[in-house]
Amino acid sequence: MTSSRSIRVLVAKPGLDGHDRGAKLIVRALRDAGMEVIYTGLRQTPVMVAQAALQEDVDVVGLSILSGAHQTLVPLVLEELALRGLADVPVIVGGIVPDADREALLAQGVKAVFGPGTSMQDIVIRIQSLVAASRQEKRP
Amino acid sequence: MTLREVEQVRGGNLRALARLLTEIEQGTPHSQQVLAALYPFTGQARIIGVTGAPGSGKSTLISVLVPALRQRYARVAVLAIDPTSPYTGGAVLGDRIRMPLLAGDAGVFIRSMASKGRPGGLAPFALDASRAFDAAGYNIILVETVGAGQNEVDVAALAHTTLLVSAPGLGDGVQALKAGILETADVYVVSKAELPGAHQLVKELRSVVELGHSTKPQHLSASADALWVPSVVAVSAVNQTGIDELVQTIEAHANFTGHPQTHDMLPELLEHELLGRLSAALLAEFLSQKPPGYVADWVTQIRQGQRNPYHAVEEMLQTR
Repeated sequence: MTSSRSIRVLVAKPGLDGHDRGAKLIVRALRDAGMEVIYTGLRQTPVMVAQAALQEDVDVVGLSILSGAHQTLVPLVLEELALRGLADVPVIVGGIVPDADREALLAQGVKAVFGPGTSMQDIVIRIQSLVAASRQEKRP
Repeated sequence: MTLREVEQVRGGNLRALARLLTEIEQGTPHSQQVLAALYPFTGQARIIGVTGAPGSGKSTLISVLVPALRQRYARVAVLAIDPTSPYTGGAVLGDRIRMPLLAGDAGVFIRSMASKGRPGGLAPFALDASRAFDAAGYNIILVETVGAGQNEVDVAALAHTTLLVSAPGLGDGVQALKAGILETADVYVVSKAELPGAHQLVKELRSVVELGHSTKPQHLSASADALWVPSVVAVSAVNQTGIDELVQTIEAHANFTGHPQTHDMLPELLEHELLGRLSAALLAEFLSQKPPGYVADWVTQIRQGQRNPYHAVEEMLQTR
């Protein structure tokens, strides 16, 4: 009997953020929306994030970055994902990202950028639609 | 189509392996076909079950045990099973968080799985996933489960060696270890050995062990009369002590049972597996010949008091 396929989301904190209160809120909200959330914890390197995404066969990679280092970290993560054949996995970024930097991230292939104050519901819905679109594309 | 996945998984394509694991979780017919094709290439891997109450230190133990195992084995897999919320169906798969040191090692594959309500329990999934890892060349597979429910006992039975982890100060010491799971352990690991109470817990466990041998059926390719007396090992991840001793104990148990022979599973486990697959297949076949909503209609009639759940199945079988 085939069970319906849950959405698997990687929530990762690359870099040197000092706390993960926000990320944990997201993790719980996604769980409450019926998703399977792999949470990596703090101080992840881009390699660790990409390894986790690969092994866990996630539908979405969520990067939570508060430190302001997104312009350095996001391209590195995208590169490590591509190296592992995961360029087709949608990547979203949350945390502290100035509006001025948003476009650059989206131009690099990030699908969405969420600032503080984004509602959990919005994030859930966005993830659901990204995954639905992604699965539709893969249908033979 | 199937041949491609077989080549990929055996050839070390990690994404193919990860995708196969996802399909195994979903129970797709395709995954069963791939597993059938991979089966001749399985039988070399050793499965080590790691179980214990929440907070007992299983994940941290695995994070120090795996590097030590990696000195002897080229590829180590970890299957970490976390509980699913019964209400939302979601899960936080957080065991990985405790294994940061393993994350950069290409020879280690960590996969998290939500336990979900599965007909047939966790064991069929854990068995299929282990065979996938086996075919991909992972010589050692650690399967981590929480608690002492029937599901966990079933998974423990699959393992060639079972480690039961308990931490000092978690409650009543040995009393906190429920029967059922106590009987399945080959090695008792006292984690957080640097904490007060660790020495006491080791003594208590040793006295339990002295009362009798493990009643767990051993995966033996040697003489069936041999008895294994469970070992008690204290490990401190913080102080990096006891790890070598634990590895040696695991190796000793491996020598005792004889290393896994190809397809030489315990007869009762194989029977259990066959009956499980057969029931699932028969049920699927039965339902495939029925219109959509067949079961839902029965449920409605029973709830309305028009039908009896006991007679329902008899009536259904008459329509075969």
